[in-house]
Amino acid sequence: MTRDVVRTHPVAIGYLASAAAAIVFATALVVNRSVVGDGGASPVGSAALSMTFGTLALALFLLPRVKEDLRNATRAGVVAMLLAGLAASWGGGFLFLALSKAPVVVVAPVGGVGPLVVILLSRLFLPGQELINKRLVLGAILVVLGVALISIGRST
Amino acid sequence: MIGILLALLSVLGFAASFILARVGMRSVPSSTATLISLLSGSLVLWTFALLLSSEGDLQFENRTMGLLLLSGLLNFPIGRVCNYVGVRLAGASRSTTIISAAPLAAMVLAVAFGGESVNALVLFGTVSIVAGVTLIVTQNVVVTEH
Repeated sequence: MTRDVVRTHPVAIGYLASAAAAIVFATALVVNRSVVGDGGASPVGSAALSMTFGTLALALFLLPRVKEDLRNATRAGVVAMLLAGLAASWGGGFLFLALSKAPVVVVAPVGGVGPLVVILLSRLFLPGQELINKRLVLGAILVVLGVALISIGRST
Repeated sequence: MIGILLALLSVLGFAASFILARVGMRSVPSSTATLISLLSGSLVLWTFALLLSSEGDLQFENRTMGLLLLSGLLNFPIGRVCNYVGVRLAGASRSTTIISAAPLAAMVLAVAFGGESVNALVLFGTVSIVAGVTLIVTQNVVVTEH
């Protein structure tokens, strides 16, 4: 049933999954703030430990099927995912560094331009795989602008 | 200036990770792809942690450990898996734009549970995000896997 819905409405399910991720990330941010803000723990050390807990939990959950998934995967696919993990942590690490050098009101709007960079990189490295048009770019600009306004508005 | 440069490097890292994930998930299912990315990502984050932390920084109280466990469960087995499912099915550019609206969700949580008030900037920001997301999700698109 679930697979049928994904097969018939893949993009809509993709949007729902993305919205769910946004809500989960926002909720986790509240938890992180109580650790780093009130708790006074090291931000990057907390992030590393939190990721380790998440990795162990996911590994336990996926244990029965990982072997088969890896057998069916291409080497290029696995390498791309290893690099994706490195790149995401590079992003997280530099975000912590940026926040240690500049206030949130500066870092958050700059960090918010991510969707525009992804659109640019998609155009360069995923030609023909993603529909990049004016409507998408305008939508992304409005989201980036909105994120900047909320970040500035919440810190004033 | 250095803060802005570091923030841009951060953006570049996150953006590259979405593109690489899109490529990787052509042959690796989303959840296993998440696990692989977390294994390599943990190495980088621990390197940053060891380089940037001073003595005692990496000692945590039990309550903090509990909260980090909760944060880890939310962020990775749930958040990142949903994130990668979104990238695979809706495409990196559309999925990332929707996920980047997370500050709107954070603001709603802060108003609902933290008693935070809303000012004009936040209101305009909310309208802008909703308009942007609406523009994107109301468009008919077909995402190809290869």
